[in-house]
Amino acid sequence: MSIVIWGIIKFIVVLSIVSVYVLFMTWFDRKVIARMQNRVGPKLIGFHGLWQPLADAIKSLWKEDTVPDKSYKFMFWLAPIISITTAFAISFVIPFAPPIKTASGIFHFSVAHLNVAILFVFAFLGLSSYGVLYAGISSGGSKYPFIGAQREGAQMISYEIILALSILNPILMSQSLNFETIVAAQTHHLWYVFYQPVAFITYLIAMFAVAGKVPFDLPEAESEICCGYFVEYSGMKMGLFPFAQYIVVLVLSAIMVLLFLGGWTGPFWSGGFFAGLIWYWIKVAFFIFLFTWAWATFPRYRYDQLMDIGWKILLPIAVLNIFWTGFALTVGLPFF
Amino acid sequence: MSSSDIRTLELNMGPQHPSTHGVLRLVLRLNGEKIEHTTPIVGYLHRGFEKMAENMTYQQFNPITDRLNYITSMNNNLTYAMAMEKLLGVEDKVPERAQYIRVIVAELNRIGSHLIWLGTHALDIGAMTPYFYCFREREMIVDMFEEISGARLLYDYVRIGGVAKDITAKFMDMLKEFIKIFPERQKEYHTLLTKNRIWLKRTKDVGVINAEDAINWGISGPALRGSGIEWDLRKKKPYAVYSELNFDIPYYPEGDVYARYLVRMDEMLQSIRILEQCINKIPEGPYMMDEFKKVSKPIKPPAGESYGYAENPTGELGFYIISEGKNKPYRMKIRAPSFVHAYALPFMIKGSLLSDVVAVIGSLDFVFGESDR
Repeated sequence: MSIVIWGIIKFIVVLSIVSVYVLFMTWFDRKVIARMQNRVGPKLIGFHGLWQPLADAIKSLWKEDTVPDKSYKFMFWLAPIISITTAFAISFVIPFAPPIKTASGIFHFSVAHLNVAILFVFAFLGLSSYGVLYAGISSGGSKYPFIGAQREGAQMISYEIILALSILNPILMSQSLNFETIVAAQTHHLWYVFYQPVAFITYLIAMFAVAGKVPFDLPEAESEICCGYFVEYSGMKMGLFPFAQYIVVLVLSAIMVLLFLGGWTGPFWSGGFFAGLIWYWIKVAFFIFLFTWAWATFPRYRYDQLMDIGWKILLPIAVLNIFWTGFALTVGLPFF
Repeated sequence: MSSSDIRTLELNMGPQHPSTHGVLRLVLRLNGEKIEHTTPIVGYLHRGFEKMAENMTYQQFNPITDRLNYITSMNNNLTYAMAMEKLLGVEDKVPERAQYIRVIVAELNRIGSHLIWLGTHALDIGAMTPYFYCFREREMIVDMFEEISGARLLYDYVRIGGVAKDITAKFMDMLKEFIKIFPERQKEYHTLLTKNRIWLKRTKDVGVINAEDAINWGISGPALRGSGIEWDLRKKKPYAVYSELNFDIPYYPEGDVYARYLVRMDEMLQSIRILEQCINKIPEGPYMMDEFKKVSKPIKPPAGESYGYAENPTGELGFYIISEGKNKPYRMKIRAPSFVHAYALPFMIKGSLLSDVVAVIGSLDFVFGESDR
């Protein structure tokens, strides 16, 4: 019974934390990019514009919610719901803090402590692209969303493979699909980034593509196809797509830290719950910042170039890297 | 649905589209994302300037020329003034100080126009930040123009027979400050774009047009120089005081978007060179011919015709004026570079991808106030 109650409490807490994080991120993105571009950014509502996301949310709730006449209404409604639920679902298996030992066992800071957490993440990451695909296809023959959905489909298929192949290396090394076990395995060795620099880089690139962020924001390239798949959406339904995207950014950054950068362990001052918590979130925050930084810096790749990078460069490298890891583990190379 | 129906997609791009630079409308026939056929449709900003000219006195039309390519108002004024001076036969009587001021404002406006081009071009390709950097510098130029003409966008400063007002000491200080700062600031754009791998991938070998085709399509200005032709009216058919100034014509033979990008980037520095020389060389004296100081006094050029041309930031702008000896022209034809470029666009983007369309549009630097007139 207590498991159920704890589960519900955790569910509500994580739901609120993630929602607040997304609201904060919209402010953070705008503020950081503004600083990089010699601007001030939002500053009128609250302390340095901190309440701006709230104002935006209220505004989009009050906006007229139009549904195109020719659209497939059911799919049109379903698309943002799929996007947002899958994104939240992924965030429920991510540990938000190091586990602590209590009298009744180990307390995990994730809604669901799964043995196959990584599999779960990938299942739902795959599903989340359906939100975008449905949005594009159901917009009633509107062509810009259709092109956006096409691009999203191709991009997700190509880059989720690379993402999975990169993640396979830490999994092989730790023999586990559970985040906490993988982090624990890294406390015995160095962080996996030192064993797997290639996988780290392929993951880093694929991360941007899967999240659909600059320089790989092709499905919603606003200067080419005018925001792509959500052209026909308005009000809060439109707001849910970037909302889901921000959650995916958080989740991918967290997985990056958990798998390659030792989660809550640090080079010094480690051990202890709070030290772990701070190390963990510093690292995650860095990767989230990296998304914003890239957004302000890079132009956008072209569609065929994106496919070239994925299939012709990253995929062979990722596959060869797995062979190398397998070889190193089988032979038992000194550091593996 | 038969198989022939689903083969191509007809996509309407514009007139309301973030990257068609105003109101260009393109009807694209796409095969996947590949462009098979393009129909450019212009005219959404048509205001009938050529017809308006026939019902206005010559001085009244001067502010209308501002509105052709509203980003390069100074250059438009200059071209019109030169066409009129040719018609009146007073080309040689324009005071030298006025000619120097004209060159200064024209070159400043060239930099201003190229800055807007760079910002929007980068924005089209997805880089957001250069836009704000460019507007930081353009703000300085606009402030300078505000100091001498009182306006920030449509200046109506260069007039028939000279310029509207003399330049001030404060303007000269601002100009010197700008010349000092700008080359440093331009390096920031270079660090963001010139060697950026993604920028190179998006611009190299995109929208290629070779020298012969470029001439046949009537392309002019930086786009022509990007195809490897060393052609600049300031040098080849000097007007104002350009023959006394020392500068180079940057040109690159590749003919792609990247070459046009480099041409414009180099041109900005050449403009700075011209400005430096102008500051040293500018003589004292009148800024306007006395007979044209009064705007209310009608100008009645002798019957005849004249063609005034100038190297505008976008290309070659021309005014062809026919006079019947009255105070209004019989006919005025405006040769607008953007109009010519818009019709070369389908040739340049044939067979490329949807993303390349915005890159090529950006590299040709359209302004539809000028194209649609």
